[in-house]
Amino acid sequence: MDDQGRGQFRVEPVSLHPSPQRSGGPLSHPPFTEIFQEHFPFVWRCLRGLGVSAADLDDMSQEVFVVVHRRLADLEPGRELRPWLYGILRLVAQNHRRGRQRSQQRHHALACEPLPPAEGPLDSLQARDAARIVSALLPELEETRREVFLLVELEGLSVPEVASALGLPLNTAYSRLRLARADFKAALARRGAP
Amino acid sequence: MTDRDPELLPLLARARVGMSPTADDVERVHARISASLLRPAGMERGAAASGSVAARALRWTRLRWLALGLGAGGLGGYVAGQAHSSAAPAAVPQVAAAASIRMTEPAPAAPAVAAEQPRGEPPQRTTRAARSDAGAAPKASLRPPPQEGARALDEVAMMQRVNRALARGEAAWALSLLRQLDLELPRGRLLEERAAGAAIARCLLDAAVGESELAGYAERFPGSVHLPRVSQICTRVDRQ
Repeated sequence: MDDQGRGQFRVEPVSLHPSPQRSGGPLSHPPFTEIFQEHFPFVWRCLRGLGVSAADLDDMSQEVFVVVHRRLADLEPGRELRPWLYGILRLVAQNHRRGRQRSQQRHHALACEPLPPAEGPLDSLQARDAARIVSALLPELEETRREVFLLVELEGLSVPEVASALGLPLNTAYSRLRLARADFKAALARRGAP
Repeated sequence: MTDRDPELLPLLARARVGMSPTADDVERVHARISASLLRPAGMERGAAASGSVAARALRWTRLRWLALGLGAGGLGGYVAGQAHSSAAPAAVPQVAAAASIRMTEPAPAAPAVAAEQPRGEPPQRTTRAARSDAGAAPKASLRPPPQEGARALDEVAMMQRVNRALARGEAAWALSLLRQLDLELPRGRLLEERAAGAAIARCLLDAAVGESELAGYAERFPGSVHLPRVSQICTRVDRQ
């Protein structure tokens, strides 16, 4: 327990029998617990960036990792994990949006949420305020452009990696990124942020 | 080489910190996932290879460098990337508060490796434990028990994850992993590495603590091989 009374991150290892392997050979992928430890922040941030509300993040991230666990045996050896994970979380987020009509209202509410007052240059913003700004502006991007923007600008994937993850021609990925940047900067300017 | 737009990097770097999960988020979701998945008997890890005391000491020395990876420039990528931004990432209030937690001092480690004697370990304990090891299996007294080798690998693997989290700028996540490591493996060997990782993470989260973090680390581990890197991060953040 920390000195604020909050619980420690107490890991009870989810010891799993490996999913049945096609080849019957040794595991060709990292253990599930390691995947969770390594990539949970990535999944969490991407779900937020795709418009999942704070209230639904627990459910959605849990669902993503349950699917990950189920499909781990299908992961091809040597395949990059983050693009593969993104494919799963993307489907989970899409299903979530389709199934919850109110999610559209949430997105709209999020987009209209007043931004914190800009009291100085953007680079002096607190992380929490910066997160609110970016979370509010991302839904204003067209969905296919938002994905590329999220993965490159926020998560640092390379454009070729993103193109591969999304099944896009490389030029299309570059084009969407360029347009997304322009849209984001325009949205930033409209909001009055310096 | 990054494809990121340098103009947007300062805002998005901070937003990334703010959009990242806290330690409480991690614990909560992990508990839910654990509850919803099967939990058969734990996966067995293979025991580490045995070896002479000197060989183990040498292996531990290499593992220490490997574990935190600071010398290999694992953190350098993050630092280089952040060189484009004009100011340090801002603090995440919840985690900054939690980051004031003192890392718990692990209990004295298993006494088998004389060359890597943990600081402050009472010599009687070492001698008594060594005698009991010898008494239990005289021919195999220099072989580490399987659990020790497995724990060593766990600790190294976890420290590599900490290093990767720091290289990605996920300082809060790195602190979560270090707290997890403290809970699961209090009798670790990588004390300096854990403390260095924690100091670096706290400096990245809150520029204001740079001076105190550096002073605290230097006091605990004077002459540590990681001191230059801790100093680089904590004073660099401070200066901005």
